[in-house]
Amino acid sequence: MSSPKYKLRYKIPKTHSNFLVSTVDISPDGKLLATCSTDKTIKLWNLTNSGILLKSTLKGHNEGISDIIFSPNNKYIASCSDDLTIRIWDLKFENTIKLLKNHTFHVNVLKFDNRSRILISGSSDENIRVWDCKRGRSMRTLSAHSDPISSLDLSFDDTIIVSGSYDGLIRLFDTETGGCLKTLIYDKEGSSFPISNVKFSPNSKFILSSSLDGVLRLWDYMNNKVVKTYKNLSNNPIAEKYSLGTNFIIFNGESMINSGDEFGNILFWDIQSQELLFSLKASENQSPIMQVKSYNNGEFLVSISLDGELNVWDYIG
Amino acid sequence: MNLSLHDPQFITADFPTTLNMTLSYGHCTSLQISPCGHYIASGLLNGAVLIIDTWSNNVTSILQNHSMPIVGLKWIYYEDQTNDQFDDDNIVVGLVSWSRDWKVCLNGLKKHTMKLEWECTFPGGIWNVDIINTGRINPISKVWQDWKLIICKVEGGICFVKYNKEYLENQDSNKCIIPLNDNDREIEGDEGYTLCCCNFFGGRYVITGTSKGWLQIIDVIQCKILKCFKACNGNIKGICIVERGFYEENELKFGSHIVPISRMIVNSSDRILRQYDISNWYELGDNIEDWKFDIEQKYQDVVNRIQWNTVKFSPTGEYVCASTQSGGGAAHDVYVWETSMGSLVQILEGAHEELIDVDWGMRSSNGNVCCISANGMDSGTIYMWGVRAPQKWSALAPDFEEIEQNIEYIENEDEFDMVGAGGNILNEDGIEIDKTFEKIKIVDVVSREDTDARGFRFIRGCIIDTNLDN
Repeated sequence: MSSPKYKLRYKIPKTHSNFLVSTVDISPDGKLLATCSTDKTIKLWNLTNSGILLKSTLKGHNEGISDIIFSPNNKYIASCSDDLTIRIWDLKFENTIKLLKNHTFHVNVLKFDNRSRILISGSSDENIRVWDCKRGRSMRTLSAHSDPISSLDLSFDDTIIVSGSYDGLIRLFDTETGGCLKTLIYDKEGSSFPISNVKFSPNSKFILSSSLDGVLRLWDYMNNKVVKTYKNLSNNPIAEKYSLGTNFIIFNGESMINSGDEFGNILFWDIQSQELLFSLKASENQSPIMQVKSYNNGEFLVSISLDGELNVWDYIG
Repeated sequence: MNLSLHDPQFITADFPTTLNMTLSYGHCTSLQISPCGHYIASGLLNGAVLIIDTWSNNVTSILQNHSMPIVGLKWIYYEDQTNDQFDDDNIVVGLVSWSRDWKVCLNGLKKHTMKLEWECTFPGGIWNVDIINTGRINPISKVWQDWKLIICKVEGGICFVKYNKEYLENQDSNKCIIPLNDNDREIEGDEGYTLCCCNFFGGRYVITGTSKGWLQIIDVIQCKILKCFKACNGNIKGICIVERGFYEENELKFGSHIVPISRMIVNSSDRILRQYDISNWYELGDNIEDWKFDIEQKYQDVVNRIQWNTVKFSPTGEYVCASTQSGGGAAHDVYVWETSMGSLVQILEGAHEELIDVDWGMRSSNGNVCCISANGMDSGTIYMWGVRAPQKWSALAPDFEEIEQNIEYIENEDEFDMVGAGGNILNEDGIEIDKTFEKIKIVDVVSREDTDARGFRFIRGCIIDTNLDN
């Protein structure tokens, strides 16, 4: 393995005291971080030159929060919870401006479109919903999965939704019509494993999927083919239990992908050679790295562990 | 990106066929679809201009610059193809509107919000406005500079309006106005009032139509009429031009790569639409004296003798659509013709009132691959015709295929083998998966396609913020 290309800048060991933390997000201007937890709160953190300072705590959900996402226009943050609701919060006044209800089970994942007018949610009720943010109403429901939705992503032009579900399928939907465009399934080695994460490549021609057989796969979806497979060292799984976030790192001419694992590390692979390049230790107590978010395709990274350890990493080349 | 996954037969649909959306946000008197297809600008009877989002059908913003019905609207769009940075500095988005209160307003997009850049009242009113130069955003001062418009006034003929620094300082809108050099032509002379205008040659020239059926070609730089041509005896109500894009290296790269022939269509009150093949203009270049007006097609309804309200080309110029004026037994339809043979290919029905303004969207919107919008005169409803993607059931599983008829299938000996002779797992083509192959194959995850599945260039488009609070 080569030497790490990222260096720890800041660290907060317990973001939500003893509660479990599900994810982290970076605001589009890179100045704000948000974490959410089973303690039913969202915490907003100022990322400054002197450290990470707690800005405020958003309270309103009645159950644990599974996902949060900043709107691309930097005005709102959306959160989804086990209380079956989605809330859109105004970042300036820090209050709930929209409460989206219609899911019938835990809401797991959220995504904003580039124009911050449409929100897409995936739920354990096996549906994906497309929400009109202004009216606060569900525009359409995509019911093509037969198990909870674990992950969603949008193509760069917002026209395709990709979804991953525990039913083992990756489906592509037309955002504008809601029709299913394609289905991908990896069942070459017997049965298919639940899909825990999906992510479009920067040009949206490939999809990086994580499945609970502990492997990442890069799909050329036009040709229904897996073109690359990324594995952990000595056949250890990457993830067998949790939906861990992945990223494409293309900052400064790099060509890497990364993912957290369930033992407190962030793993980095070379996209082309599939070689594991280096890993970063992002948890003291080997807690799963639930999410790694990158700013500007890898200028800096923010990672969060299930125990709530928040780390900020700088690219050092 | 979604188009490449649709049925090829569906994405090659050239013109809309079915009415699939109506929007009633106030009484629309004029409309235009934005170049990126994400928004429709709708001018209302009370002078407001709505920006309607075509994905969620919400009003994203309301521009209150006029106090009387909006007569016309035009989007301005320019993006710097050489600069990949997605920010406001290299994308110019504007909207020009003119209304019955004699006012022309120019709005520009700043920080995802439409802001008034310039306005001026022209006593007597305005017939038509067109954009000559989209201008650029100054990267340092962030000011939108060098935009230029042409205005056909009711009193005083044509004038140009140009960005002027002094306007920003003392708000004197007259500082921006440049009159036409040929003063004697401005007063109603032999050629009549100038009623409409359309720029071409990338804004180098403007063609105008007059109340006595004359077409005039105006040189923008010299501000002078260079050529006149008598096209008909009626009023010229509208002109539409599609330009073919050509030689990238030695300049002249306006127009579009997907337009086969440069064409012009002239709408006149004599109930005939005249379509000209103007490719010879581009071949002859600046020898305007030699430019010919070759009529390629004439469109008219001989039976009902319908007048046409608005006429618009499709993005490629291969089709043209027109709204019909009521009276004389005419139905309230939009007619679509194929331009090379001149045959009527579609009549878009469904509106139970006369349709005024028509626009053919450059890009798909609202899930349609192509889109024609028109507004009704009585209710002010916006009608949208499109082509909806059919649901493909074969999309629901990777190995489903839709076939026309049954195929007798003969299974190969090793067809369903999971493991090949070499002991490796087989891929779907029956070839053993070679793990070293995955290593060698280079995948490009960064570079994007320049064009979509139909050959339309990807544009970054604009983002107009929706305010969630109100």
